[in-house]
Amino acid sequence: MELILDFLGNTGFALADYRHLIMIAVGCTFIYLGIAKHYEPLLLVPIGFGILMGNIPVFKGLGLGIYEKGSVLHYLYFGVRQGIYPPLIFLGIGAMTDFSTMLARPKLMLLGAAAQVGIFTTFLAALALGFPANEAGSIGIIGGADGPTAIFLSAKLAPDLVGPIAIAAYSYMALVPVIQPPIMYLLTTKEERLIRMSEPRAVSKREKIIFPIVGFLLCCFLAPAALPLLGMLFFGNLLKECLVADRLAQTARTGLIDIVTILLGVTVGASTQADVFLTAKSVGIFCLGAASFMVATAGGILFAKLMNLVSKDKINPLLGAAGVSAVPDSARVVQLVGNREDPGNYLLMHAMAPNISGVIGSAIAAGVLWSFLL
Amino acid sequence: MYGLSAISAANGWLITAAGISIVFTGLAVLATVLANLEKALTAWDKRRELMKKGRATPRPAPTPEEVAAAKPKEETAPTVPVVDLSQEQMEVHGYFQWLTKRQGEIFSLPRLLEQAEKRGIRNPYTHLDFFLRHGLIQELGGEQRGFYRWNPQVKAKSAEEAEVGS
Repeated sequence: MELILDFLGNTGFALADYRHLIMIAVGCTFIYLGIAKHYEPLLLVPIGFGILMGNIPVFKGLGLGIYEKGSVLHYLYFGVRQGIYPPLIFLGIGAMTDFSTMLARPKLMLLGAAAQVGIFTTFLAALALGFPANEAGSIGIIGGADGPTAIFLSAKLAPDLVGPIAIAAYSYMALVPVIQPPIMYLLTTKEERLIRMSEPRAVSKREKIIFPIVGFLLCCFLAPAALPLLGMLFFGNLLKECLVADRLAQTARTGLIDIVTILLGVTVGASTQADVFLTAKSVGIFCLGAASFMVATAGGILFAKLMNLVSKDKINPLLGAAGVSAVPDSARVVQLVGNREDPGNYLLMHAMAPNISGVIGSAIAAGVLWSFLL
Repeated sequence: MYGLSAISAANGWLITAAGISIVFTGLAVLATVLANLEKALTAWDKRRELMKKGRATPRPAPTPEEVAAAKPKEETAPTVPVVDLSQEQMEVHGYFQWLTKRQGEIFSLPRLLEQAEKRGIRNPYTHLDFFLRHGLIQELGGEQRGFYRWNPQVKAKSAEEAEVGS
């Protein structure tokens, strides 16, 4: 009888408290958003299930939890803690991204730079709210709207905050279609939203091959700390464009990125154990992350308007919203908003330019913050 | 510590200013390089011609005989092939030119056909085939294979006009 009572005392039902239930509800919400609403399903479903895995109440010391040395999840989490998974994801992103719209109209890259203002304003806000500098830098990077970059930087600067920061970054990336449109409408006039972009020029194969080499050298000479992320991004793109390494490119953009996404999603989700995650700090991170995302969106749009003041070749300011690097969701949102005003206006292709340069910009920003704050 | 004092204590202003400057500089330099990459590659392709021009030694002043010999002869205007088009073909020709103008000098046929269909132009494929066969539209070679442009060396003319003229 005592044995049975012991067993019952060690079950999840007996060990659970309200915090576990809250986190299980959060995990189920993520899974729901991914499956029913199609918001970043490849990320939200693994993260959501990871949250469920991380919030099964277990007896401490059994070597089951992600923070317990020797547990399987602990070993898998190594890739997050050491910043191994994000560069591998960047390799896959590079191998699946076509940079030709950016090469055809390089001035749109400046929109990707302008959107990074969200990172630094949030960094300042976090400092002002009393966060230490390393944590403030990790929180600020949420505004880059780039999950792997956010995980990479927080693993380096504030490993304890990887869970909340990753969850915040991926949540806001998934909520791009909800967060961005109101800001886009608020900051642009109907006439501006109706601006049609001229057709981009055809980009030669040689340009596409030279770009990853030149881009890598320039960016990494300027911000060497961005090397792991940008190195893999540009390397992946070179594999794709050179055509002679197609097998490697194929692996990078399919099998490899899928495996790493599964491992990253599940372990980041599992790292949100209720006792670690449900703190006032996490709430602060979520609020600052949302602000960061909004400022980044506004920064891109306002800079596009500024460019229109000084340039003859007008650009649709909605493209500025794609400067946050949630690829390709923010570009899709630009297309949707532009299409609502003028069904014949195709902005997706043009929005990919600031969108991709936003990825490069946020990786440079992460490198800069890392080198300043480590 | 909170507020502005916390920002100052952590060198927040400096890090922010430096960070934004570095990100902007990085992407602006990359954008400038990419904007000129095409020109650089074109110059590289023409490097032999450019080097030849650079190496060319100055010639001695020409003698009066040479000057006389070099006087331009009266040239006859080169004959430009003319394709006679029916009234309908002339109209479609004008439409196509208007549609391709939006794509630029170089255009893609699928996009042209898509736009022509959207605008209700009848038998766009047949007309396009005619223009291609008669050389009014020509395919580009090399790395731009798959793209087309209007052939400046072939003119279109209304067949009716031609008859009236004759």
